[in-house]
Amino acid sequence: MQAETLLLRQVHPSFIQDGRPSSQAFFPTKKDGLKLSVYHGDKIDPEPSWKHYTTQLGKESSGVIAVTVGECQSGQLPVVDDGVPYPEHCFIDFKNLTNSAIKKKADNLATLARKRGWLFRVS
Amino acid sequence: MLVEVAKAEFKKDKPHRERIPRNFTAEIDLRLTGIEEGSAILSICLVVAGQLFPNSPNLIYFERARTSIIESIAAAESGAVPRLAPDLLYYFDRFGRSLRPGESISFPQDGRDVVLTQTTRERLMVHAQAKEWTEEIALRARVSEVDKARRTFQLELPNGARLGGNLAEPYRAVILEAFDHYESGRENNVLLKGVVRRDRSGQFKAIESIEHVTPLDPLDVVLRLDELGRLQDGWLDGEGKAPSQTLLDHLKTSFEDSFDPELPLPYLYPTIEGGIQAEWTLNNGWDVSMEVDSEGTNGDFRAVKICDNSEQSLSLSLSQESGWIGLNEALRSIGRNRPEEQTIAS
Repeated sequence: MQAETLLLRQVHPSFIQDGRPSSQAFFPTKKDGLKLSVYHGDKIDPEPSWKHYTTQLGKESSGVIAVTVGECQSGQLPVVDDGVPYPEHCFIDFKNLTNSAIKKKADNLATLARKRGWLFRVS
Repeated sequence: MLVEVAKAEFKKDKPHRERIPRNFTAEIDLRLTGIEEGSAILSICLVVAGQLFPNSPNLIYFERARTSIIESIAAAESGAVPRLAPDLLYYFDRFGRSLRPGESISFPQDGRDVVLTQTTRERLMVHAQAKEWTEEIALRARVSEVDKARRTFQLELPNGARLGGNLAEPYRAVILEAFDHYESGRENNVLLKGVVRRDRSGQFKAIESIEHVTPLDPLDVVLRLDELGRLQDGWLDGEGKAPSQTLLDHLKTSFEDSFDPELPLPYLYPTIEGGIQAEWTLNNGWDVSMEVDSEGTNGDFRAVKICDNSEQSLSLSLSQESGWIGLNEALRSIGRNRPEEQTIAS
């Protein structure tokens, strides 16, 4: 996994208004153990990742945005390439952070992802 | 309405008289007598010529009419059956139809105020055995159809219902432009203010008259909060609490009354805990977010400028006016920063 490897994040339709994704798209949930699931951008392209997420996993997504491994590391957020439960699965680890630190780091990731723009968008 | 009820009182008193006396209505007038300081409370006085000529034989019918109307409102307020006949109650179709949620008209009666609200008026219309009645309303909707030959258009309401109107000149251009944007999903909503006919179940049936139609900002707060109001618990792939109607109504009112209209409108998103997150991307490099809790009382405000790692944060009490003043000031202050300006983190 390189610093410039893209980490693809699926965006729920409620987290999009007028084409702009919310920073909520990067908030990890306690249910997921504060591990934010992303797709390994060197192993899968944005559109196939969306297809996998919506058809194989049966979840809702209206598009794909991304941050890089380097951007996560600059923000002291470890990235783990675990390949579980599917080979392209990675996660950004938010554990051991306070609530306000989680929000701050999620906001920063969202800002970077918005600057990069949509990598895939449902038309 | 007062005149018609007074006529009914007259007929009740004199059942053998076929006609209402000439000039029966000439002796009455309603006059605006004052606007109370610091509020939007209007004082309207019933002026009867008989007050100048106390022996006027018709004065008693207007006084009885006033009492009957107020007693009917009081009955509807308490859930009882009003004593006015249904055909007279139907005049409430024209009275109080501009009342919005939270607004009321008060009538002093026996040392207390009898209050006409949207809810009371609806009860009165049900007692009037009306199947449909009118309401003055502000509708946010998309223009889904235009028929230039017939000079008509169709509005598509957020709940999917459709409502037809006439394509009149004053708002023709706005309707056509919104229709052109129907498929793009941007700038395709309009705000229509006018009188709409509705049925007992609250469904709109037809547009009676249009005061004006204006294009809506794509970030219109009420429109977006109405959209978020359709979320159900579990909206985020089985997780996610739906925002409560109380929270959404509080934010609609607060943004309408307390948010500086000169400031950019926020993007609004649901939070997994049942709150709402407002976000702004300012063109000087600042990204701003404010997470509102599910009660609508606290706003966790944070502004970041990622290029120089600047940050500002505030805790705002959004149940008080001071919290909204603080939000306006913080956004104005951040918006004034030039792109190259360094800001001290706080």
